[in-house]
Amino acid sequence: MFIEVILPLLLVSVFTFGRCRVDIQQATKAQKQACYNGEFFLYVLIAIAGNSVATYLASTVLCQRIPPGLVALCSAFVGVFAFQGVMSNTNITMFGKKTLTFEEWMNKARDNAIARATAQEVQIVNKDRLSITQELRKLHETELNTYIAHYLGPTVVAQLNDKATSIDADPILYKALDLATSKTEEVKAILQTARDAPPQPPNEST
Amino acid sequence: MLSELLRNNTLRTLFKAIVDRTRLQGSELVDLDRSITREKTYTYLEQLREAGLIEVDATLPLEDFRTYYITAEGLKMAREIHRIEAVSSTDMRVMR
Repeated sequence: MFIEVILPLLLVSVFTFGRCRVDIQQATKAQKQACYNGEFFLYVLIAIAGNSVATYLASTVLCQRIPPGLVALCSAFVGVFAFQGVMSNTNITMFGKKTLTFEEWMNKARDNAIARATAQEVQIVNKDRLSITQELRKLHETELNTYIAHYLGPTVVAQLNDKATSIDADPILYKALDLATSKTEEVKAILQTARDAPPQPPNEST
Repeated sequence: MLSELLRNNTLRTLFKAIVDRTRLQGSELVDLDRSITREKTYTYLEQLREAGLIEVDATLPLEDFRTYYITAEGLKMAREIHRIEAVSSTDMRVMR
């Protein structure tokens, strides 16, 4: 019972989860935390259902050709990675009418998982960028311009000033947003270093 | 909306850019097609948003820094457009 049913199902679940995670992460280029949501787990569940059928079919063929100990592993592998070809062309019919193909089910679930992961990724990234922007706005404009010239090029400061003026926006906010969105990681490092640095003694030249 | 996307090249270009990258900033979309004005680009984006094909995250102030991202409905539409384009390109080859 364990080797014939539970082990293959367990392996199918593990392989399917891994495959779906790679698929969604590749499609969205999102962080891991943005990918795990209800839509993703629904996609995994539908894929596991399809892959289990494919694994069962594979095991009936493989059990006559390879040693029993390897059947579970091999059939789960074949079931998961050959699923696309076999199950994609399987139609589900109800009362003689075609309701949905497995491919349609998978596409719908995948679309929802991609859309949700993208939405979550956008929210995470933009919250981060907003907090960076708020910190950049506290800098002196000359210092902000120096960072922009260093990271984005010496001519960019003037270009951003012009763009902000053309749309009646605050130039400092516009420049801070541009730097925060185009060089997020570098700016984070600068701000972290500035936060960690000991406070400067007051200038005694006066 | 499908017929509008097939008829309007600029609208389709904007939509395809968002589909390909899954998310893009307003300024990146404005820079995509310099032949149309900034305002026109945002009008097209609003049209796509109203049709449910894309969504916008307005966490960051200013239109240029808002993020336009794809929805499940948008992905379905992209597949439909791809299918139609594939069929029409096959038809063209057969006619030649």
